Amino acid sequence: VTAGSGGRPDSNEAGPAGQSGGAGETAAPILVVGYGNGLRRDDGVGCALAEEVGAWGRPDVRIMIVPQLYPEIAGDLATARRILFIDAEPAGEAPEVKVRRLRAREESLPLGHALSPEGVVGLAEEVYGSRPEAWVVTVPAFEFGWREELSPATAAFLPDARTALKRLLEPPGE
Amino acid sequence: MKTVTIEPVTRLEGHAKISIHLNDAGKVSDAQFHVVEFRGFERFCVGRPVWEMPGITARICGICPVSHLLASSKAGDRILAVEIPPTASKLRRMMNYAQNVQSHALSFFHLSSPDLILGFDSDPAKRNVFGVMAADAELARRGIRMRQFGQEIIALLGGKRIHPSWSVPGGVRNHLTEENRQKIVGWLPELQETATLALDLFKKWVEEFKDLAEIFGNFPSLFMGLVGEDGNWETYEGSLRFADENRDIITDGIDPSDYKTHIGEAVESWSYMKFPYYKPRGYPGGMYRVGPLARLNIADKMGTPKADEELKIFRDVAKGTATSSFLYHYARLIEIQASIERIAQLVDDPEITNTRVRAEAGINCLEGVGVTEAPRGTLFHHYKVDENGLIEAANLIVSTVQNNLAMNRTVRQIADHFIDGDKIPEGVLNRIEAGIRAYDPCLSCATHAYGRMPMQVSLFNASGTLVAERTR
Repeated sequence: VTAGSGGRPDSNEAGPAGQSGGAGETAAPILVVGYGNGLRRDDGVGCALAEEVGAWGRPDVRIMIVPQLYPEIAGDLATARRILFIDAEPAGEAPEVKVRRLRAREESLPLGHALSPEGVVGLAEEVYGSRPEAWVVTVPAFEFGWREELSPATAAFLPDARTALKRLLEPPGE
Repeated sequence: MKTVTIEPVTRLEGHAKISIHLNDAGKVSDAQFHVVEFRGFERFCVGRPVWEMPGITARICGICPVSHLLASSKAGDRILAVEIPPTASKLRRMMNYAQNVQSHALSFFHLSSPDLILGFDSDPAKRNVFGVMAADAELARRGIRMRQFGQEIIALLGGKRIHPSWSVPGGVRNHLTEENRQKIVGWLPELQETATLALDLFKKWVEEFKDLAEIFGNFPSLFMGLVGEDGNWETYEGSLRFADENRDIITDGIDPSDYKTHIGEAVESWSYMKFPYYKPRGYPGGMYRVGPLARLNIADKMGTPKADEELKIFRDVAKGTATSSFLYHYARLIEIQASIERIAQLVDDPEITNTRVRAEAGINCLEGVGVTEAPRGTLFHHYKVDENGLIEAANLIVSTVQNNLAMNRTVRQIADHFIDGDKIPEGVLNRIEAGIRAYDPCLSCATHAYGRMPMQVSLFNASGTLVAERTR
């Protein structure tokens, strides 16, 4: 299993609906955003999973794969009805796939060159007046060395992550 | 001796922490900025085909992929021993200008403007881009649009916004279509408006922050960067120039391939990041700065009308040489102005949509150095290959590393001025962070996951016992 290409043509804007547009364009209503560095082993698990979701071929889903969350993707987020962020999380004592709903932006989070999911969703709201439903799926990450393959420990959590993503892709109540 | 440790620096990628050492009298005796650099990447490259290196190295970092893409392609050009088609050279330049715009926009509008608009002593929970939105929504929106513009050009040329593998040894993969050229032209009026607005705003702040600028990384040093054949501002080709704090040229016309003759790399036990220095002056006396401030200090002129007008004002403000790192912000805005003008010139060039954009060749040299000016400063890619073009050795000297000595000096200067005793008020933390942020360092070597750690401040007494800790 590789940790997401991050470097293949169009890998950052792929999926049935093609390139993600800015606010106002017609686009698939569900946006799956995988982020991380595919060269830093498990850090790329979000990218790898987003690529996989893209391969499921759902017409209502578009995929965005980026190394980090930048302010300008707020425009893409604003066109979505539901957003699923997929990220790596350094493994703790009881590693597991976690799913959480973004309730509100967390203004106190430090802003780096990259934003947090809360931050970029908050920007979509502030700048474009859009507040899509947003979820974050995190997968435990164990190794961050220079290598493209996922570690066996992280790969073992992929089935759980796929299950979580499939649930989140379905409309509420189904 | 007491040690105050601040870790990691917020709004930066990678692991970074600051240690401030106090003597028994509570005065600063030393200050260190520690970083985990992306050690090991060069080894990761060994055995890879030189043709793949631009695409691979662009993935080092999500912040400045274009810089690595272009420096790597240029190293590959040398290994193929080709002169790339003129249109390919112009398109690469255009992408580099676009990267300058989008990167500087992020630095100014998103990372630094909160400190400048809301104040260093404002509530840290609100001192961010949302705070700027509340204070000046139009400015924040324009900042996002400027970011989008830079990324849009990168996407139009490279086919994608992040990590385009478009530039390759010998040229570029795709030409610019007339349709895409028109799209770029359409963006320019709005961009020019935003650049003017930001410059006018900063010129008002110059007086307001005059006292801070005096102690905000304000010291004599050398400055290094590329200049064109005419001595003007250059970001893609040209030769290396070193100038001193009086803007006197120390060394000029250096072939970038000869960088090792002039640049040494020192190592300190307390940091993974190396300390490049100008060899003839030794270490650490050969401290030099790179990036926007350095480029403006070494250049004779910017080479475009509006940017040259701004450069004159900038030099009046700085009274000649800009020695305060606070003025990096100002220099970035002038570089945005110059980049917009240069892009406007390029899209009007009748050759810009020419379809001949790539020279094909095999391996003709076993070594090549590629140099560009990344947003944060001069970037070197140096490769050695075998007869089949497989990498045998790679050496990358990234911009942020070259400012290492200056960043440490800046932290020390700010700490000296503001810290007295074993307390670190919030506002002082902010100023130290902002002092580093003036260089807009890119420490993407560490994973983004670690880069989101909260800031932690640890305070140790003279015997090394932790006496206080703050996290935010």
